[in-house]
Amino acid sequence: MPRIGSKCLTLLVFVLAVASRAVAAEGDALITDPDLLARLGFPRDARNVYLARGALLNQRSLPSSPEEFGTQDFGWTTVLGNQHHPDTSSQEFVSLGFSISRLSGSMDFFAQLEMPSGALLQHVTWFGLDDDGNVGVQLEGTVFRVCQTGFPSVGPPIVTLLGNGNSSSASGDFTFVVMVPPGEVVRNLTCAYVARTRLDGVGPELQLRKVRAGWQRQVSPAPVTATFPNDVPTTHPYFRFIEALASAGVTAGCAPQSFCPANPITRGEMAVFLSAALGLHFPD
Amino acid sequence: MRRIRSRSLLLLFLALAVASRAVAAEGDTRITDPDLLARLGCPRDARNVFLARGAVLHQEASPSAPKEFGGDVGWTTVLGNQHHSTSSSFGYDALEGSIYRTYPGGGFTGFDAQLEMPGGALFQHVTFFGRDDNANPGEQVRGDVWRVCQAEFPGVGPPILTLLGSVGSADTGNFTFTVFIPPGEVVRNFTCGYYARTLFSSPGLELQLHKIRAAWQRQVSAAPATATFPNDTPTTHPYFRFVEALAASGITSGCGPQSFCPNAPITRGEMAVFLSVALGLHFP
Repeated sequence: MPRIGSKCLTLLVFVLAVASRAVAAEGDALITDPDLLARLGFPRDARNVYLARGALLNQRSLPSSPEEFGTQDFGWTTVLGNQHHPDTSSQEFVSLGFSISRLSGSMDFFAQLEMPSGALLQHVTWFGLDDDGNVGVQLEGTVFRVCQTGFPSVGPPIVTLLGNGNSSSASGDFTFVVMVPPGEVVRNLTCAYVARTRLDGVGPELQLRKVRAGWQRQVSPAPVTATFPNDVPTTHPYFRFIEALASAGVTAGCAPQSFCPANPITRGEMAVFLSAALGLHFPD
Repeated sequence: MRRIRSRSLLLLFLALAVASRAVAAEGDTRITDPDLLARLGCPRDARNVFLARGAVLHQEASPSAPKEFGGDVGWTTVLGNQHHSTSSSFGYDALEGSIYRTYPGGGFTGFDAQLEMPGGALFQHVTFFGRDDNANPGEQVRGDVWRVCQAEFPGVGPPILTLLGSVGSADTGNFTFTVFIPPGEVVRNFTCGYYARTLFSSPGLELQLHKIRAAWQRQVSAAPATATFPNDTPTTHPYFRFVEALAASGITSGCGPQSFCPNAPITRGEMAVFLSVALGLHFP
């Protein structure tokens, strides 16, 4: 069961990667199964959704093991329905257990997605219930990025739509996935991310249960200049990683402009690295 | 005061650990002080609450030091004014950190707060902080802690709601009470979400929710059944569990096919790769 889940989620990511390319690459497999397409958030008759070559090799990215460190596994940020904010105080809502539902009016609900700075935002999944028997779009989900600079001058907020999706039938318990364009790096200094859910119906038959963002930590690309040019020039195989440590303030090197990458490390140095990297501290 | 508080909280853990055992172990100390029992969230006349042997040796795990890495307890706090009303028809008002009910009707009205905790951590307990200064006897405030899980693959499942614990308070003045989570509750952010609901029996400033605070502890997951590096880190290796955790998180792929070289010395450069990949470090 977890195996199957993990494979599917991996597919999602790769499928989008392919769908967002203009042309499928050699070795990609066309997905035609209407049920699978629907589950992946595509129209049932979509014709250009491919499974990227090699996608199945990535099964290790087990979503059932919710690890949050390392650059391979996904981390998850969930906002339950009852934690969403209605767009106006003049409309009525009620939470049913943890779900949220509209009582009147036309209504949007907002949820902020908190994710680690520098992580890659991959996709956001909506969970809900659509049991009202109406056809057409009943619940629409949209992911926005909102950025605003404070220095040197205050700019206006810049709102960017990163993607949207919807539940398009009276399908009972549903999920749909909004894939974020590749390369969306979380920038918490200037930006914030929000999921908006638009409910086009009133009553307990239409519920927002939760939204869940999937993200992946990454080590940022190598900078242009070297902090330790004496022994870790830009051509060093570990250049990118050592720069990341220096930039995060975890190391200042072993001597001016040197890091001594080939020196063995002692247990004492290991203690310094780990405690500085994790910001460990003692009881008051 | 701080010391006392921290020690009490520690007792909480250990007392619970013991209470959940069928029989107290040799060397455990029975707790009979009604005030202490009440503070621990037990009935004042509880007879089978024990302080585990060796418990006081653990005073260093002070809850006043909010460590989040390693084996110490981490804390997730949600202030009263960050709680969400369960319905738009239930009036409320916020004061600095606190929140209180203004809805004049009868019955309980609720405020919900989601608890964000690291995936894989052990969920320990939730403490509710508030004020009950009205003269009414009986239960005025109740705190419930819920887990909500929903699987979406291979089919969309219905949400499964589980009440992890519930405690009521009829105290006077500023109060705290603690909901203990059943032992072994591992945070699963992929399929589950966690929230606390605080229910108020009556309106007015005399009844306030100040905050709630969840306690959790990071842990390295249990050893898997098969070895990723059978050549030199088989399932019997003393570091097997930890090496596997690194491999599963994508932090290492070993030193050669099916090998990790656990006894090889590490260089400063290699250390930089391990740390930056583990934490997903990045540049401005």
